[in-house]
Order: sequence, then structure tokens, then C-alpha cells
Amino acid sequence: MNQLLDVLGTGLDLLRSRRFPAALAIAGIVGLFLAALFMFPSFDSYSDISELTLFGAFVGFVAAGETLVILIGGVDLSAPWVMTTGGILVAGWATAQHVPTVVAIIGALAVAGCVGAVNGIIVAWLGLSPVIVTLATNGLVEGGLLAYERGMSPLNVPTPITHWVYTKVWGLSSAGIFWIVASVILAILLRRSTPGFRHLATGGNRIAAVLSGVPTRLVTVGAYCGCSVLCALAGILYSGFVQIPYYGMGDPFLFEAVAGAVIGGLAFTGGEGSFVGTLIGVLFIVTLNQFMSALNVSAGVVDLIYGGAILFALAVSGPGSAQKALTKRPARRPAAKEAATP
Amino acid sequence: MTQVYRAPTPPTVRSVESRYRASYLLTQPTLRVWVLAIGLLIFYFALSPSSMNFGSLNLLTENALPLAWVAAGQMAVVTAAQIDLSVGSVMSLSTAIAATQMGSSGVDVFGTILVIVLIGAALGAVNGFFVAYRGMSAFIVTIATWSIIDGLALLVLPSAGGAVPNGFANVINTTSPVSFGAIALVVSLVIWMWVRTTAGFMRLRAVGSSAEKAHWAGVAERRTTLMAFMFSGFAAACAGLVLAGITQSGDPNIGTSYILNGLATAVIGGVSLFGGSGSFAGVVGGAMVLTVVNDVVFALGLNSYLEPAIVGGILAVAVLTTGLGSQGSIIQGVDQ
Repeated sequence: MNQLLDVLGTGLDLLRSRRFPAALAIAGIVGLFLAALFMFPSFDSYSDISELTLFGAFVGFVAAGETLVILIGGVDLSAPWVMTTGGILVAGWATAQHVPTVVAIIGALAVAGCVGAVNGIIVAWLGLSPVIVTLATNGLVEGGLLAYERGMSPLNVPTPITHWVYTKVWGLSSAGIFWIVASVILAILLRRSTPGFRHLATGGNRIAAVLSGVPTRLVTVGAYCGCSVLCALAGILYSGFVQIPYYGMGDPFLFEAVAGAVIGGLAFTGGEGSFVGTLIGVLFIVTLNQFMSALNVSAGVVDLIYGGAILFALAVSGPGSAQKALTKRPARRPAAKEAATP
Repeated sequence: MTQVYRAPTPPTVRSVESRYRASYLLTQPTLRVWVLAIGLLIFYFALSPSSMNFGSLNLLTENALPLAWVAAGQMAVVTAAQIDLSVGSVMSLSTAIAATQMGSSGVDVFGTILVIVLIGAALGAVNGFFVAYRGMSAFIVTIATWSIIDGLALLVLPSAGGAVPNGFANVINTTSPVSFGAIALVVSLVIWMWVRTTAGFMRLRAVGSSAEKAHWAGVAERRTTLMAFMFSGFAAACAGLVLAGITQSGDPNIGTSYILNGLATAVIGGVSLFGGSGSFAGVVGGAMVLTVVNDVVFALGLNSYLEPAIVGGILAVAVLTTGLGSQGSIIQGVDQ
């Protein structure tokens, strides 16, 4: 009986925890995959996994960046045009001005880092809402890029990038492996390193973090910088995939990335979530995408299912932590144990 | 890190006099945005003197109307310290329904208008339910409903097209003696003059300033937030109807640009993103600014791509000059 209560308690805890949507997402990925195996005879699981990780990498790097920012209670809406800027700058510099590819990539990432630093400094030092600050920088970056390129149509991405994106290692896409490895490293850093702890502390309770000596403003600037760099990286990889980058190519990615992060259990109140959760959420979104395009459903239904998936993930992950703090209830599991001891 | 309590300084002759100085302007958001709007308008007329006539003013109000209305809804939500990103999709859905379902007879038209407005309010209520009663983040809830409502709009009308009855379009596109936009803006400003004095709007501001304090003061903070979202949906549906009348058709994607522009209009109009303060008079001024900027970009022969950068720049300046030092004081005080 006691054991039964324990199991029940653990089950309830899982239902209430932030990990639950990620667990459901894994079940969803497996389910969609099995369904695809039975429904589409042309479905070849191995090469399709490779394709999924490739598409996942584009969304996934943006999602990792957003995770970084959302963990400290912010959000970065400048992601779409920072991403576009990354791809177009590399293409322009390497193809028209014959800058070595590596230098062009580093230069584009540095430009993105500067945009992120501006976001972070305004948010951290002036205490303004990140939604509106990053919204404004998104417009400024768009205008800046178009002014810099003088509205000319973008050039081809240097071939080494395209070549690398299409390379397969052990049958998996190299960009996909890069993304998965980077996510795991970020996840370990977040839980096992001092900067990671500071990051979580800043997002969890900012005032407590300040009083404990965490440089919260530097952490904030670092998060926005990191987010922009990751978005630009996604842009470079994606432009390698499409070969000729185009203006506005980043626009659809913000939505998918945020959706993936939320399905992976990221809390918008900050301080809760993980990069592995985001990885799983993004894989689910990409799998769902592929599945729906194979089924040939209309764009309207795709939108409906996307929105429904986010709302469902939010609903099963329980009330936000702000709500939890207001309605504090004693944890259920210790109470059950206490009652069972005598 | 010690914080010393300082009693507020009593007013002096100097501080009262400063009201008549130019710098006083900067502390009054509504006044400031109207000065900016009129300044831009004069600049525009200087650039193209041929358009300095009554007709272009009529056109201006016509174009500003949907923006002002959608921003009015956003203002209500932002005043409650929330955000609504689904307004654009509600506009798209309204135009889609208007272009496919509106019959030709008068009763049909009025019936459809009523249904569209009710759908808008109901969709707002869904947002408000999740935010106010389930404690979810407004940002992510309205991103999800944005996608869902966009999906509904695409199902009603898969691509731009359809038509609205001529009678309806004629009313919306009236230009003589004054445009429908001008009349509607004046009427809604008069309504605002009444709304700003009501207890309901005071409750909304209280909830936006501090939901907890409002709660202890006896304000039904959840219901107030729900009402703000319902009004936002309602206002977006009205704005969608106007757009359907102007374009005389429906478009399942037309609302997308209004999400960010509506928010920008509200912020330029002096609505504080930290909640607790906002004025529709300022919002109308913000809509005027954005509409005139559009015309100025065109008159200067600039690349239309530069418009987002200019709007972003105005937005940044508006935010920087409104929000400085006034909010986030708890954290700033500790941060030192």
C-alpha cells in the first residue's frame, strides 16, 4: 500500500513537473515515427532521421539561443533578422570580397554578438522590457542590413559551407550532429559550471541572485550575446542548405524555435528548463512538420496543430511558477510518507 | 546598499514654473506624440506641397483607423501588464469571414458584423482565460492562439480574395465631407473621454500597476485581466472589419504586419509596457505618426525596406525616453 502511494505520488509529481511535456514529446516523436513507417511505404527511417536532424539543426540553434535568454526571464524577438544577417553577410563577404570563409563566419558571428550586446545592455542597465527592445532592434537590424547591402540580391554562400552542411557522418547529417553535441555541452555547462549556476540563479530569483553577488547584468548581456551568435550560426547553416540566402529567410524560425522550447518544458517565467528539453521539443516540432507535409495537409491545419501543441504543452506543464508561489501547497509526497511511517 | 527613505519634495515655485518649460513636454507622453505627429505632418507637407489638402488628411485618418483600433486593444492589455500577440490573426480571421460570409441584404451585413465582433471577443476571452485563470505567460499563450486563429483564417479563406458587399465598402470608404476614419476616430476619442473616468479603467490600471495590491484592495484582478483580453479581441475584430472594407476583400495574412505595428503604435503613444498607464488619445497620435512616416518614406523616395528601421528607431527613442528610471525600481535599487 505504501509503495503504491509512493508510485502514485511520483506519478503525480511527474504530471506536475516541467519535464512532463518533454516526456510526452519523446512519446510523440516515437509515435509519429512508427505511424510514418506504417503509413508511407517510401519512408526510409535511417535517411529520414538524418533529414530530421538537419532541419532540426536550423530551428535548434535558434531555439538554443532563445532558451539561453528565456532562462533569465527575457525573450529575443530580433532572432529572425539576426539570423538572416548572419547568412547574407557571410555570403557577401566570402563571394564578392573574397574573404576567407572562416574569417567571414567569425566576422558575421561578431556582428551578431554586437547586436546581442546592445540588446543586453539596454535590457540590463535601462531595465526596459525585452519584448519591445528586441522588437526595435529587429527592425533596426533589418534596415541596417538592407542599407549595407544596398538592397542588392544576396550572393551564393561559399561552397565549403554548403558542402559541410550536406556531408553525412555515419549516415547522419553533420549539422545535426553539431547541433546535438552543442546542445548536450550547453546542458552540461548550465548544470555543472559556475556561469551556468549564475545563469539559473539570475532567472530563478533576480534579487536573491544580486544579493548573493551574482553579476546579473553581465549575465543578462552574456545571454543576449549568446542568443544572437547562435541565431547567426543557424542563419549561416541554413543559407548553406538553401545555397542562396534571401531577405526574410529567418522569419518562420522564431515561431518554431519558441514552440520547440516551450514543448521542451521551458518556463517563460525564467529559471526553469534545459537545453536537452529544448532539443527534444525541436525534434518533435520538426518531426511533426515532416509528418504533416507527407500527409499533404493544408497550411491552415498545420497552424492549428502547431498552436494546439503549444497550448497542450502549457496546459500539462501546470501553472507557471508565479502562480505556484501565490498558491503554495505542501508537497504531496512527503506528507504521504509521514502518514505511512507509524 | 542601504536605502535611505526620502520624503517627497514639496512643490516649489520653481517646480511649478517648470510646467511652462519646453522640457515639460518630454514628461507628457500624449502631448509629446502629438507634437511629433504634427511635426512629421508639416515635414511631409513641406516635402510634397501638392498633397497639402483636405483629401490627403482624409486618407491619412482612413489609413490610421485600423492601426489605432488594434492598438487600442493592445493598450488595454498592456495597461494590465500583459501582451496580446494574437490580434493580427483575429484581424485576418475577421477579413476572411467578412469576405466570404457577408450577404448583400442589410440585415445580413449587420448580422455578420455582430457575429465577427462576438467571435473576436470570444477569442480574446480564450486568451484571457488561460492568462488570468490558469496563470500562464500571456506571451506564449497568445503565440499559440495566434497560430490557431491563423489556421482558422486559412481554413475559412485559403488565399486572398472574396468580396464584401458594396454597401458595406461604400460606408467604410466614405470620404466626403469627411472620411469614415476621421468620424470613427473622433467618436472613439469621445468614448475614451468617458472611459478614462470610469472605475473600470481605474481597476485596469490598478491591476497593471500591481496585481497583488489590486487584489488586496478588492479588485477582481482575474476578471479585469479577462475583460482586457476580451476588449483586445473585440477591437482587433473591428479593425479587421475596417480593413475588409478598405481593401474590399479578405486576406488570411493581412493581420501579420499589424501585430508589431500595433504594439509599436501603443508604445509610441505613451503606453507603459510595465503596465498601469495608457491613453487612447496618445495611441491615436502614435497611429498618426506611423501612418505619416509611411508617407514620408514614400515622398522622400526612400527604399520601402528602410521603413522597419525608421519605425524601429522611433520605437527605440520612445521606449528610451518613456521608461527611463520610472520602473523596475526594486531591482535597480538592489542592483547598485
